[in-house]
Amino acid sequence: MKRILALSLVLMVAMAGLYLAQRRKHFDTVSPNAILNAAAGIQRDLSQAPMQLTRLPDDSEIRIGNELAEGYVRVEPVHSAETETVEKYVSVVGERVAARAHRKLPYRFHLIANPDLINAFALPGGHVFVGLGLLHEMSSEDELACVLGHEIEHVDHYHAAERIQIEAQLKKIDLDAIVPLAHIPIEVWQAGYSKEQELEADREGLRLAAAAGYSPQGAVKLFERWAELHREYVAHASTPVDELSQIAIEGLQGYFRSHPLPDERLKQAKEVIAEDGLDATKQLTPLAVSSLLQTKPSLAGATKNVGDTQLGR
Amino acid sequence: MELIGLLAIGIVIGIPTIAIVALVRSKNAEGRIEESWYKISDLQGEIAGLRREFSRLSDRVKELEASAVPPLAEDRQVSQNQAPVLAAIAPEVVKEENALSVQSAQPAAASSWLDETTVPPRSCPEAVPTPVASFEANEQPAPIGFAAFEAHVQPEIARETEVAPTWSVPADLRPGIPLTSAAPVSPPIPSFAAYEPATPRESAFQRLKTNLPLEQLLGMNLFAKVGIVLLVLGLALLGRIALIAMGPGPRVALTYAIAAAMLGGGILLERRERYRLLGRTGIGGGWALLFFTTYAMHHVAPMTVMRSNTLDCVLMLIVAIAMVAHTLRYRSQLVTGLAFLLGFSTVALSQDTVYALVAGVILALGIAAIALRMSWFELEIFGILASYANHFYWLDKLYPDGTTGHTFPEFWPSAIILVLYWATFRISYIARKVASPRQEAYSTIAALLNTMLLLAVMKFQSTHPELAFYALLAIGALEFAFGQLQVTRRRKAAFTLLTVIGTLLIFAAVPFKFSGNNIGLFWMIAAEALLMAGIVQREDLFRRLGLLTGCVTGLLIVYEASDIVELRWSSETLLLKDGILLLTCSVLFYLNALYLGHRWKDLFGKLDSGLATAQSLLGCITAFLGAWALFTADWTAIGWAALLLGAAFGVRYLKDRSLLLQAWALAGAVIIRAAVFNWHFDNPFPHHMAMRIFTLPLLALAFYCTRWVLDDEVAQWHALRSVSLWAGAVLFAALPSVELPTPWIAPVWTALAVGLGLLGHRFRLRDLTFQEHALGAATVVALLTFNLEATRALDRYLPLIGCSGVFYAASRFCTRKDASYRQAAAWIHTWTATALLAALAWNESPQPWLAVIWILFALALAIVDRVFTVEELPWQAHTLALLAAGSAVTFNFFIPDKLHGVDLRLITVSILVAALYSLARWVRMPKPVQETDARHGYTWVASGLAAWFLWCELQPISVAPGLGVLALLLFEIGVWRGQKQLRLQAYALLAASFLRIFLVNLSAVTLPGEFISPRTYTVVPLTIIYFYVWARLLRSNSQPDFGRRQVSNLIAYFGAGSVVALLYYQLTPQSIIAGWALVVVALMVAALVFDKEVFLEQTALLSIGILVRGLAHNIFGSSYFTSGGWQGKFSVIAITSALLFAALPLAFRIRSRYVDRPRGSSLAHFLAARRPEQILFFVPLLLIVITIAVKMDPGAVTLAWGIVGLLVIVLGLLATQRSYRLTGLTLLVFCIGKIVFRDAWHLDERSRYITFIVLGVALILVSALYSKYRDQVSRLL
Repeated sequence: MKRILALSLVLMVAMAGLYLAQRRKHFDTVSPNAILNAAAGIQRDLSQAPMQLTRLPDDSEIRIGNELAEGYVRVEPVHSAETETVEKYVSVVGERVAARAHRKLPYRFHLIANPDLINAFALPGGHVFVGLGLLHEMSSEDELACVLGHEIEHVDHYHAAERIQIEAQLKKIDLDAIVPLAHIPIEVWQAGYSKEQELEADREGLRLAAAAGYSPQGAVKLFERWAELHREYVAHASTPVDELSQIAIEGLQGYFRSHPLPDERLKQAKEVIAEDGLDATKQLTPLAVSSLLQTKPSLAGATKNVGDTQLGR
Repeated sequence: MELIGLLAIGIVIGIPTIAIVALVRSKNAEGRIEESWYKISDLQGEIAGLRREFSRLSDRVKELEASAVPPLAEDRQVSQNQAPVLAAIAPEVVKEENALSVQSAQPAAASSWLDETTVPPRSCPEAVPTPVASFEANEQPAPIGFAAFEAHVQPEIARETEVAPTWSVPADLRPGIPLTSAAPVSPPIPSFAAYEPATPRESAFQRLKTNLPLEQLLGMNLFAKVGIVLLVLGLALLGRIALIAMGPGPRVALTYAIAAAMLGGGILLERRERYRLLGRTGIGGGWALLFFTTYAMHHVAPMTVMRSNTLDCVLMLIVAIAMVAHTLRYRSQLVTGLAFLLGFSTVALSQDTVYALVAGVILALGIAAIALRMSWFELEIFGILASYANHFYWLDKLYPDGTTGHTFPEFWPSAIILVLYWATFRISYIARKVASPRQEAYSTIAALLNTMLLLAVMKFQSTHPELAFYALLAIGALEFAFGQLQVTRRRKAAFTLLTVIGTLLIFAAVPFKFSGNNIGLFWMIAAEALLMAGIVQREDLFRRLGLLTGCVTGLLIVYEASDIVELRWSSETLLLKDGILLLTCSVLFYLNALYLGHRWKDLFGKLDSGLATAQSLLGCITAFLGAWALFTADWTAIGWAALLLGAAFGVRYLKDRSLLLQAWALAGAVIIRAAVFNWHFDNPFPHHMAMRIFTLPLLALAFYCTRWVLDDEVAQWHALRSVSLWAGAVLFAALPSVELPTPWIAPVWTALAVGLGLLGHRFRLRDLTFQEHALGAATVVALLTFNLEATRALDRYLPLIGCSGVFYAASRFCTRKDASYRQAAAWIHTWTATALLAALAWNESPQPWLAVIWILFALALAIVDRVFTVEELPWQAHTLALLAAGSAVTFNFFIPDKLHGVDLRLITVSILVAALYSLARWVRMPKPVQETDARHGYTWVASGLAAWFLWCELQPISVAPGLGVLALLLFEIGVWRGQKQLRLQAYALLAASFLRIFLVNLSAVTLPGEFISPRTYTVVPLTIIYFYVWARLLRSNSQPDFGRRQVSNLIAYFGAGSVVALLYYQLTPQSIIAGWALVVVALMVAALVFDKEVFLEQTALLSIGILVRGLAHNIFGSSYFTSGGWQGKFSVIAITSALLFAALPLAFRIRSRYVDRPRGSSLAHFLAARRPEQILFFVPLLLIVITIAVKMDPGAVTLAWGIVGLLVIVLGLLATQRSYRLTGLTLLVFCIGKIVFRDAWHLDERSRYITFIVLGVALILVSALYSKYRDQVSRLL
């Protein structure tokens, strides 16, 4: 009798869980993300001790960042007066956000005038690059501040410096030499960081933007939009075999590109707003260059291939 | 020139180096002698100890004998206060009186031995002897029995190495010795210590190990001293820095006062036995501080009160310089050698004409004379080197670029001097008497060097190359002649060496006058002459030299004949002369090797036989090359085949193994040649056909003849026989492959295979049946390669079906009747036939129907088996059924097509399922298999389909719980119906559900409005299911599943793993380890309640996980700027550590359970089950220690570590855990090291003195604790 009761109880609990899960209005993605995030987190954690023990001095980091940025700017020059205007605008917002960063580095902000680049990334030493495609996805200056805050925090919290240290170790690059640095492809910076680093950059970037006077709703809006895009992008497997192969492929491809899901980032942003008591009702500031972005065909004609990009790196 | 320069530098550096090496070796030898004396002294000590042990045992035997006599009444009335004194006396009495009064003392001694509690050892520390007293006691005369031994030892050594006994009589008690005469009245009660035997001399390390264990050494002894040192230094710093306002005088006075206090305190403590060591360290510390103060009075600026450095030095320092004088008073080869070598050097430096080199000759004569007289043959080696080097140096100075073939005036005097050198040292070599193998070895080196250096220097000054022949011939002849002298022949080594050198020089002389084939001719003649001389005179050396030189000559011939090989790459011209010459040589070599070797078998030892074998191989090579030269094109293989036959005959009649090897090589050569050349793959035109059709069967015939020649049953021949048969068969089978259209190759091969199989079957020839198998395999390859892809249906169907039919038909008689593998061969044939037909179906049928065809084929096979009872057919049916099922799962489930409006997937899968069920009922299985659960394969498929269904129907996040529920139901049914396979399916589904949560559930995000995280409400039910199944497995009475314990453990791991994973994803990164620590506590409770080791293992693993994550994330990987709050840098680690420490009492309770249980073999089991308290202690401790190191202010790290170390030692003492105490000690030792190597130099002054004082006090406290609890600690060691 006890056995039957225990079995019934267990079944009831399980059925309750099943009921709740079935009732849930959300299609959860099947992916190796949990394992990959854990692996990336472990890998990152294990590299922290040597990272800390061989930390680059700030001046070296700035020099390396300058050399890298020089190479990338040469590849992706700003061509027109419009793009220069947009870049200046990005710089103004960025400098305002960066004013409250922990590390006092010479932060500089660049626009990559590629409408297909729905991405942003930061280099060690304080260079932040924003893709034109990403600006197209924004509707307010607060969202831009959130993105820039995110990238600034990657620099501020040594994520970018650690990345260059790891790259130097993996590729046996002498960080004191100039030429080998040019061989580090730009994709290294666009690939993103570990889940914890991304969430940390999100969290601290949001606080930085809010401290600079921007509405935290900018981050919420941005993450909501990305979550929507992500849901559209994710392909649903039709068989277990498909699912397994999809997981395997994602596992192989995504090991070095593990990143939190947009839903998780959105959730964290809301928690930060609640915990820090940020003013969620604050009005969003329109993007001052939105008209420029909308009117100019050279700027607005981007093909938004969301699937090939890493959002908000 | 570079070479000459290098040589000169080598000489200049080499001679002193050799001298230094000799000096070092001499010193080493002295050291070894000294060490030997020490060993002798140790042995003497051990003997002394054994002597005392013997004496003690004798006494004890006597005591035991005496104990049979009732002791006197007054013996028992002796006051115990007298016991120590008398106890110390007793052995002395035994020794000095030589057992005169022992008998009277024995009863009391025996009672003391039998009842140790009467007089405990520690109650009479005064009885423990001091070293001084021991030395005095040592002067007692030794017993007579040992005097004889000591007489063999040098008196002074014996005096120095006498070993003191560990017991003695204090000097003030010596007068009491006569009292022993009253022993019968008042027998002493000896203490335990008094009866301890004298131990042999031990090393310092051994003494530390045995008498003072490491823990006590550190805790009680070393820490007291280091603590005092640190305290003194800290106080000194404190006085110097913190009391800066004080003047030098008061400062000095203050430190003197502190020193005096420490001194006084130490003196007071020293009076209490328990704290004696601490007291002594206090005294030492006091004196140290006094020393420092005295030093500081002149040298430390803030404390300077004295201006006179001299006076300060006098006060401060006591310097002792030990001077050791080395007097070398023995005759030294080294000294003599150095003298001579220096003489050579002066000659070398001062020489200008060739005649100056005469001095070198005189020195050489002298050195040779000394070598002969003193037998210092090593010295002669240096002499030879120096003589020739000296001469070379002179030549090089005259002609830096060499003489370059031009004559020079000093040529003849120089040559004469060189010859004189050579003659001097050669006479010395011949005339010497060698006393040992070592001397002979040195002599051999000298003899070799003499000739080699002579030739080298002569070559350098060579101006008449035409004379080289005569010079070499003359020297060779002289060396050879010297070797034959009676005086030389007494020494085998000398005879051998000189004869060999002479022979080599004579042989080497030939090329200087002759060339081309003549060299080989002369060498061959000389070799044969030597061989014949060796045989006639029965002289081993000559015979071997003859064989050896014959081999060398053969190699020369082969080398010169290698041109033939090169020529044959491009030309097939007949080489008649070379061929005849090579075949002649071959005959000669074979005569030497085979005829002489067999005729004079008694003379040919192992070495001779080896050389003869080499000549035989050379004969084979020359014959091979000769045949290649004489037989061209397609006939080359025929020629070699003839040689192969000859070798086979040789093998058969001479039973020579080298000939067998040659036959192998020749067979290989024939096969390669036939394949590469005679086959004519590259040019299959008709004009080759005639030759190919003729030579290939001829070669096959030759191989078959070889097989016939080697018909005897000799084990070594079997392989060659088989190869011959195989080669013949391959050559026969090769013809159809190049002459027939490809679709018909397989049928012809099949026919040939059947023919071979039948012949093998009929004549019981194993190789033929094997060839049938090989040809069958080749047929299969041909069918799959050519016929399956043929364009014409006839070429596809007919050969495949026909060959399959032949395979089925031939399966029962394809081998010999008595073949051990007959059944396997039959099975392989039918399997091959089935596989060919299945492959045909796969190739020909539409994809949806493939599974249907295969399953129907399987049914047909099962029916045939039912009718004819063919054992392997059911297995083929199973295989086809599996393939059909696989095909269905892979393809049929995804077919969207319809057939006449009906879903094609439904039709095909239905047929498949129906056929599977039919097969399950109809297919015949072997009886043992029938009794197993093989039929449950179908239930496995059903369960798999159900799981698939769930996957299709449920939300991704619900699949894992759904699988869990299905597994639970299957498990319960399996338990209820007693069906193990259902339970196994349940386990598999549980595993799948566990893996699934990592793909969906753990990455699910909580949506707005959800109060419970989806992670929680989907994973927690699974955890409950896992633990429910685990608990049911524990209590189930059903038949055990395979490795049920492992299964239940695995499921328990699923349960714990799901919780741990949930916490990992649910908690913030910083607080994960705290959550895990809570799980550790829960697991410990579970281990205590359920008494299952699996929880202890999980505890251990999770603890290690906590350690790794704590180190990697919380300590090193945490954020740089945002680590505030309760999740900050200390709090989570502290909570985690507290939780783990809180589980320690549980761990101790669990450990006590395992005391009486059988011990596991693995270290992991030992740590997890028997020593859980170790992991639970060391993990948090490591976290704390490393957190302190990484997160704390550098100035406070050592301080914090010191306090932790002290607390750990206290915990170790309370918990009676030695490992804890050792850890605390290690930490403190590390602190000391850190202070010495870092803090003392890098910390600021304030941190430094605080660290010093606090750590010093901590160390003294530890020492005091060890002193207080030393008895308990000793018991626990």
